[in-house]
Amino acid sequence: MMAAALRLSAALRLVLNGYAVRPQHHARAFCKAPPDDAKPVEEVKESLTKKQQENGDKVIILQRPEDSLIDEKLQQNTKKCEETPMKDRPQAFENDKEEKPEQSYDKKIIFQVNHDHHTNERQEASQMGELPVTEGKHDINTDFSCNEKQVRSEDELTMPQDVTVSASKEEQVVKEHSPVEKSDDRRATAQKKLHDLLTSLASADPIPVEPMVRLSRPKARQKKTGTFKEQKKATEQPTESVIEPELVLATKEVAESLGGDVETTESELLSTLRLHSTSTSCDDKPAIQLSDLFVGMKVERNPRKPVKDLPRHKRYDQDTQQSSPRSGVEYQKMWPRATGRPVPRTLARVELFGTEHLDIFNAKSLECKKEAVPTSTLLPVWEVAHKWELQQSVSHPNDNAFTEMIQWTKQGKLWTFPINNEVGLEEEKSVGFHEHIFLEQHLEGWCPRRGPIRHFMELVCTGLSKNPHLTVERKQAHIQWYKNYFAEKEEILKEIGAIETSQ
Amino acid sequence: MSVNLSSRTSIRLLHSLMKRSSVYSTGILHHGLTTSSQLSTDKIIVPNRIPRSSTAILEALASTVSRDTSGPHYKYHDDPYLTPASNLVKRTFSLSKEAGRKAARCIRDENASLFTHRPDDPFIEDFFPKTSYTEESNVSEETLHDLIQKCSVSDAITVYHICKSKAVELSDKVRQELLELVSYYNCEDPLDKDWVEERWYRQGVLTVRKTWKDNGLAEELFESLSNRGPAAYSALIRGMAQYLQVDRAWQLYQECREKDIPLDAHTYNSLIRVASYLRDAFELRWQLELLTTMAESGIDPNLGTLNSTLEALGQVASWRQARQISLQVLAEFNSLGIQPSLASYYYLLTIHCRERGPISHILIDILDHIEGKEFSSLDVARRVDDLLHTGSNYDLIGDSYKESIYYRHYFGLACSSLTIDDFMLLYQELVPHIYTPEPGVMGEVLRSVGVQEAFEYLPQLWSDMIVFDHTNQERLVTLVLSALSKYRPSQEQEQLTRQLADIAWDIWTRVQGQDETRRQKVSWTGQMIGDLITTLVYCGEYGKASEVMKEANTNAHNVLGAIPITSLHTLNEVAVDKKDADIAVSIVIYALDAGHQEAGEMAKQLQSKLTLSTQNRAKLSSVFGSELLSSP
Repeated sequence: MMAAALRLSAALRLVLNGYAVRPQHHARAFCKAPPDDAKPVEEVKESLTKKQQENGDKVIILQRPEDSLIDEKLQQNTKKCEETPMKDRPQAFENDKEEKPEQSYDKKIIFQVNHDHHTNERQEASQMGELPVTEGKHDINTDFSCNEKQVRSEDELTMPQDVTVSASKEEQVVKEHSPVEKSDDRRATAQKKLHDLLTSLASADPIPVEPMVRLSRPKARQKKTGTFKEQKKATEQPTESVIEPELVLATKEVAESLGGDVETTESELLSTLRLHSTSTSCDDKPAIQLSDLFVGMKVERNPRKPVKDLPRHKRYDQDTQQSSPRSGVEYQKMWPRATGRPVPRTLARVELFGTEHLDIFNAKSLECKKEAVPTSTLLPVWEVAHKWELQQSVSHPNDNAFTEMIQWTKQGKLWTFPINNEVGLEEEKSVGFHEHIFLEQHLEGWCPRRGPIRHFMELVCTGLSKNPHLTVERKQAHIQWYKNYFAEKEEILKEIGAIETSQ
Repeated sequence: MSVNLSSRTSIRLLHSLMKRSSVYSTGILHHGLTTSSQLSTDKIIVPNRIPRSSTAILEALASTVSRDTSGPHYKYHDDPYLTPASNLVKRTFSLSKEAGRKAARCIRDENASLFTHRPDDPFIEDFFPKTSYTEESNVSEETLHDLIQKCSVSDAITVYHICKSKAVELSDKVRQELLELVSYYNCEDPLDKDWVEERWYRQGVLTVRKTWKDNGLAEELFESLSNRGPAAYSALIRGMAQYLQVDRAWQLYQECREKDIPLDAHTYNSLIRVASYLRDAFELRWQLELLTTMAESGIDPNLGTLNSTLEALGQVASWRQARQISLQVLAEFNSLGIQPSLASYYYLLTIHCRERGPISHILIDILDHIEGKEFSSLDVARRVDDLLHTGSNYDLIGDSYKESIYYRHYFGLACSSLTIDDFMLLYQELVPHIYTPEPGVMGEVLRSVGVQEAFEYLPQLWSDMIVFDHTNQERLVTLVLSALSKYRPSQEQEQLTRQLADIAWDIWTRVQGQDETRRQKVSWTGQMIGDLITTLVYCGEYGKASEVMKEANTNAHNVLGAIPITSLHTLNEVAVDKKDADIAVSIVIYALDAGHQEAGEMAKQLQSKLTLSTQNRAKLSSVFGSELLSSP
C-alpha cells in the first residue's frame, strides 16, 4: 500500500519535474513549443482527475508514461554515449558549448535524471546511517558531480508549482465535496490562509541554527554560447516577453484546469516562470545563486522519507537493540559516538515560545467559547478505556508495601482507609439507625395493648433491634409475619383469652 | 580620682542598663498586651474537612519511603536467598513469580465450580473466578453494558454474539458503547491489569503498520447503527487512525465533511497524528489542512492537538523546516493558553535532537522551562535524573527496557566525564540493586579504571562481574587483565596485592575450567597470558606464573598470538633470580618460537647468570645452535 503510494507520488513528482525542468531547457524549448511540451500538463490534469475518481488504477496509469519516458531517454542516452567520445562526457557542460550544444544538452538532462536517482538513493542510505556521506566515494558519479548543484536546483524548482498545484487541487476537492456553499467568503479566506501557509512553507528561509551542508559546488557555470545569443536577446526584452505567449496560454490552461482561484494560481505560476527565466538569462550569475533562491523549497526530494522516518523512536530502539549487551563490539562502537565525538558546539539558546505564530486559530474567540460551553465528551466509553490504559502504562512493579496496599485497595481487596466497619454496606447508608432500633411503632394498630401477645411482640422487637445482620425490611417483614399469623389465629386466641375482647 | 572615675563609669553603665531594661519591660508589656487582645478578639476558625480518598493515607505513607539503594527491589523481598543480581536472573525471577500467579488464576478459572464458598462481605470480585459466557448463559443488554464498563473486550464481544443469536434487542446506545470499546482495542483484549511484570518486561514494540481489523466487528456495529451520528463516526475514525487504517479513516472523514457531521477535537487529533501516512501526503499538507478545518468549524484545539501536530512534525523531522515550524506551533498554542506537556517536550526533542543533526540547545531550554537554573553535559544528565526522581515522575519511566537504556546512557556519560573516584560513588549507589550494568558499560568502567590506575576498585568490580555473569565475556576479561598488568605493588598495599593476585588466579582457573560445550567461551590470547603472567609476577606469585607459562608452552595451540616480550622478560628476570633454570630455558625457547628477536639476547644472559644443567644446555643448543652458547 505504502509502496504504491510512494510510487505514485514519485511518478507525480517526475511528471511535474518534467514540466518544471523545461524552462531550464533554454528559451529555445519554448520557442518551439513542441507538442510533447503540452503533454505533462495534460498528464497533470489527468492525474488529478483520476486521483479524485479512484485510487487503485492511477498508479499504473501514471507510472507508465513516465517510465517509458525515462526509458526512452535512457536509451537515447546510451546511444549518444556510444556516439560521442568518452572524454566529452564530463566536459560537455563546461567546455564544449559551441560544438554540440544540443547534444550535450540532451545528455545533461539524462544524466541529471540518472544522477538524481543516484543521489537520492545515496542520501537516503546515508540518512539511514548505512553509508557514510563521502564525496570521494562517488567514483562513477564524479563525472557528473558538477551537475549535482544544478540537479538540486532543478529539483527544487518543482516545488512552487507543486505547492500551488496541490493547494489548488485541494481547493477543487473541497469545492466538489461541499455542495452546500455556506459562508463562502469565510471559506475562501480559510482556503487562502492555508494556501499562504503552504506557500510560505516552500519559500521560508532556512533555519540559521542548521549548519549548511557544503557539498562540492560547481564553479560558476558558463552558459553554452549556442543559447547564449538567445538568452541575451531575452534579457534585452522586457520581462513579460521572456515568457513566450504559448507558455502563458498553457499556464492559463493549467490554472483553469486546476480550478479554485484561477487567477492566483496563474499569476503564481507565471511569476515563478518569470523568476526562473530571469535567473537563467543572467549568464554571469553562478548556479549557486539560483539554488539560493530556492533554498528551503527542497521539499519533494525524497518521497520515501516520511515513511522511513516514521518510526523515529523505534529506530532509536533498534539502534540500542543492536548494541544490546551481547554484541559487545557494536556497543563499543556506540560509546565513542555518543561521547567522544568532537561536538560542534552550536548551543544557541532556543526561545521556546518566542517565535511568531502559525496564525490558524483565533485566540480570542477560543477564550470566549471556553467560558461559554463546558465541553462534554463525545465518546464516554472511549475516554474510560483510554484513561484505564493510561493508568496501566505508568504502573510498574511496586516499590514498597504501601504502594502494594494502594494497589490492593484499588482492586477492592483491602479494607479502605480510614477503617470503617460499615464499608461496603451501600444500601444501608440511607437507613437511619433509629429504624433498626425502634421497632415498636410497627406494632401500633394491630397488636393488643397488653397481655401475652403484646409481651411476646415486644420481646420480638427487642431481639430484632439487636440483630445486626438483618436489614430493616427483613425486620419489618418479620413483624408482619407475626401480624398475619396472629390474625389467622384470632379465633383461638380470643377463645383462650389471649386477646381481650373489647367491651 | 580613679575611684571617682570608676564610679562615674559605673553610674553610666547603670544608667544604660536602666534604659535598656525599661525598653525591654515596656516591650514585654506591649507584647503581652497585644497577645491578650488578640486572644479576646480572634475567632477560632475550624478548618473545613478535606475529603480524602481511601488511599490518601497509604499514599502519604508511601511517599515517606524512598528507594533503598542498599537492598534489593521490593519485589525480590520474599526470597532473600534467591535475590537476583544479573539482568537475566532479575528478569527470570520476576517473570517466574508472575507465572506462578498466572497458574493459580488459571486453575481457579478452569475449576470455577469448586470455588463457591463466599464468606466475604462486602463481596470481593477479584478473588472469585471470572464468569464465563456461553451460548446457554442468560444475557441481556444490561450484561453487555456492565462488561463494556469493565473494558473486558472479548467477553463483551461474546455476549454481543449471544445476544444476536438469541435475538435479544440491543439499543443504539449500547451498540455505540460497544463500538467505542471495540474500536479502541481493535477487538483484542488488553493485557490484564495484574500482570505488572509482563508489562514491565514487555519491550514496547511500536508497530508502524496497519493492524486494524478490516471488516471486523467495529465496522459491523457501525453499519448496524440506525442513526450514524458524530459519535459513531468519531469512534470509527479514531479506531482506524489508531491502528493505522489511514486511508479508510480519511475516507470517513471526507464523508463526514460531505454530510456536515461535526467531529470533535480528539478525532481531529487522531487524524493529524497519522495524516503523514496518507498515500499522497506531502510535508505537513494535510495536517495544516486539518488544523485549518478545525479553526474553520469552530472546534477548540486542546493539548492533544498540540501533541499530535508535533508528533506529525517529528515524523518528518529530517525536513529542514521542521524545527522552525515546531516552534511556531508551540508559540501558537501557547498564545491559545495551551501549555505544553511532557509529551510535547518529547516530540520537540525528537524534532530538534537528531542523531545526524547538529547539536541542539533545546533540552536545556526545556529543562529551564520545566523546573525553572544554570549549568555541562553531565550537569544536564544530573538535572534529568533529578527531574526523574521528583515526585511521581518515576512512574513515567516506561518499562524495564527503557529504564535500562536510561541508566546505560547515564552511566556512560558519568563514566566518561567523572573522575573514577566520583564515578565509583555513583556506581556504589546504583549497582547492583537499581541497575545492573551491561557488558558494554562494564567495559567502559574497566577501561577508565585501567587508564586512571584505580586498582583499589578492581576487587569490587571483579566480584560484581562474577555476580552479573560477565566473566565469560572475553572483552571484559581482557580489560581486567590489562588493568591488572599495570599494577606495581608497594609496601603499604599488601592486602590489595593479595586481592589482585587472587583475581588474576581466579581468571586463570575460571577460563581453564570453563565448559568445553559452552557457546560463548573465553579463549586465551597472547596478550592476555602476558598480562596474567606480569600480574602474577608483580604480585609475588611466581609459582603460579610459572605454572601459567608451562601451560602456555605445552598447549600453545590454545593461545591466540604470542605472549609479548615484556611479560617474558619480567618472568625471566624473576626466574633467573630464583635460579629456576627449567622455567628460564623454556621462556627463552618460547620467545624464540614466537619470533621475538630478543631471544638470543636472553639466552646469552641466561648462560652468563645461571649454571645450566646439561639437559637445559642441550635444549638451548638444539634450538640456537652450539656457537651461540659457546661464544662468551
